[in-house]
Amino acid sequence: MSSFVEQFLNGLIPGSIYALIALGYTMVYGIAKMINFAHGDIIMVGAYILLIGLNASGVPTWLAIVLAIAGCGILGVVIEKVAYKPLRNAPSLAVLITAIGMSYFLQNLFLVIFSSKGKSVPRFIHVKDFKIGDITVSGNMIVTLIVTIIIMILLTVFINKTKLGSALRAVSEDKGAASLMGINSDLMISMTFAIGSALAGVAGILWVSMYDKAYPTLGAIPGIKAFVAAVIGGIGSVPGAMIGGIALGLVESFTKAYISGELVDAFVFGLLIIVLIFKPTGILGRKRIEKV
Amino acid sequence: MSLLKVEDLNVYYGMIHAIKDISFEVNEGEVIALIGANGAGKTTTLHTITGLLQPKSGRIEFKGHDLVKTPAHKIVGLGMAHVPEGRRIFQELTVYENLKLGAFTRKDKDIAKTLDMVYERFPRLKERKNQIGGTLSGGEQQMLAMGRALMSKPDIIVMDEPSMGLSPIFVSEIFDIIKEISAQGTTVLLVEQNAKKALEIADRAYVLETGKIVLSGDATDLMNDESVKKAYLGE
Repeated sequence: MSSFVEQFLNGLIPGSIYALIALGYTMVYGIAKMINFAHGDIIMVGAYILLIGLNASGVPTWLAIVLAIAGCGILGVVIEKVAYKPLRNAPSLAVLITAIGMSYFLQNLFLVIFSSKGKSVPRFIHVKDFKIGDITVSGNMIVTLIVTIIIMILLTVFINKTKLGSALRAVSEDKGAASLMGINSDLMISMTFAIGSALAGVAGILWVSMYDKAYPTLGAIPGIKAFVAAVIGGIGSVPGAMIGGIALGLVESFTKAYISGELVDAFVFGLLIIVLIFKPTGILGRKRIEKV
Repeated sequence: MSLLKVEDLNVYYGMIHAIKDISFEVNEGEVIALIGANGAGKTTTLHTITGLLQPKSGRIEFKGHDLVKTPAHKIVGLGMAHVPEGRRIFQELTVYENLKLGAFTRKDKDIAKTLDMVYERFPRLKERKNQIGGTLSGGEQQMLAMGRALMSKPDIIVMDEPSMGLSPIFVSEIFDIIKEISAQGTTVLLVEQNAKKALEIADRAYVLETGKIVLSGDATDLMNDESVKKAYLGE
């Protein structure tokens, strides 16, 4: 039993990081109707900003964390303005290719600056391990879990209960009608990229707190996994991204523990295929009727 | 006094010249109808006024502001609300959230008062305030679109085919409501295919044909005009 709980926690933690990343994919898709494939690489940028902050003398840890999150948020807005906004009315394939290009650009930019060698990130979360019976929960895990839960609650309240949140949902449904209400949809899109990318920054910080190495392709794997999670949950759905992320983490962990460590990815993508066969819109996704 | 003035407006869809040198004006307190057949350019005219389309040339002046240079999202704040064709309420938002978004640009403290007023005029919306917009009937959605527009406390309300696709009972109800809105001092610019109903409540009207204004005048005069009778009133 205790090993089951341990495996559950081992899945829950990366799962909640996937969920944070998946939120960015799903929010951006909801409002800009595009898959931002550079989203995963923002995680990597967040990790590097954190690393620079932690290594710089005189920068307190909290400031390094804040800078990493803010830096990612700003980067997201800039990427949208420079790369995606000019293509607002372009065919979706052009946007997709641009997003992939942006992803390679970020990876290679950091490859040039920092080389391909991983840089170890000093330990920066100092929370004591926690023991329940014979199960040990590490401090990092506790912090990750608490941070994710708080973010999910705040985001849910923001989207469903605030004026800006309902404006955001209005833009995602009908940009033209939203503009008749006086809502500036460009501003809402920028805000979405800022929030989504800041969440990727948080994910990057939590990721290196767990795996303590930063390298230029760091964001690729969690990025693609979180994208799968967003699709499983129903792309465009915020609770769907949360559920999809956590489900993915759990499937990974249980596969590793009880079936085979080598088959993890097969099960993850198998889950994607099964969900898409039985519910093509994902677990919580709804079909939108496209008006012509 | 002229509230809205459109001068020599030309609008293109790609190569198609959809609006040709249209000029008209709407005075404070009036109900103005734009009538014409499908494809005459009525909706295009309204979309150009409220900023959803850009004209090739021409002027649109509203309370001294040049609307051609104003981005769509700034127009409602100037006092012009648009009830679009097909209602375009937010299907996934509740009735209450839809109405609140109507007051998105307002910063004053009287929004709750306006909301009460809207609920009073549309008791059905009050009954259904927590329902998702997409679950309302067509007539109720039209009421919601009108209520949403009224939430901005507009000087002028621009309505595009408010009676389209509604049952005859709702059609009469909608026109009664438009009359009421006008009686309370809001100027109305109405686009309608239902020319008879529109002329009944309008002060003046403009008749559009293939992108041009072919006739204009007092609504009562137009109702008795032989060519209008024949083409639009089915007599």
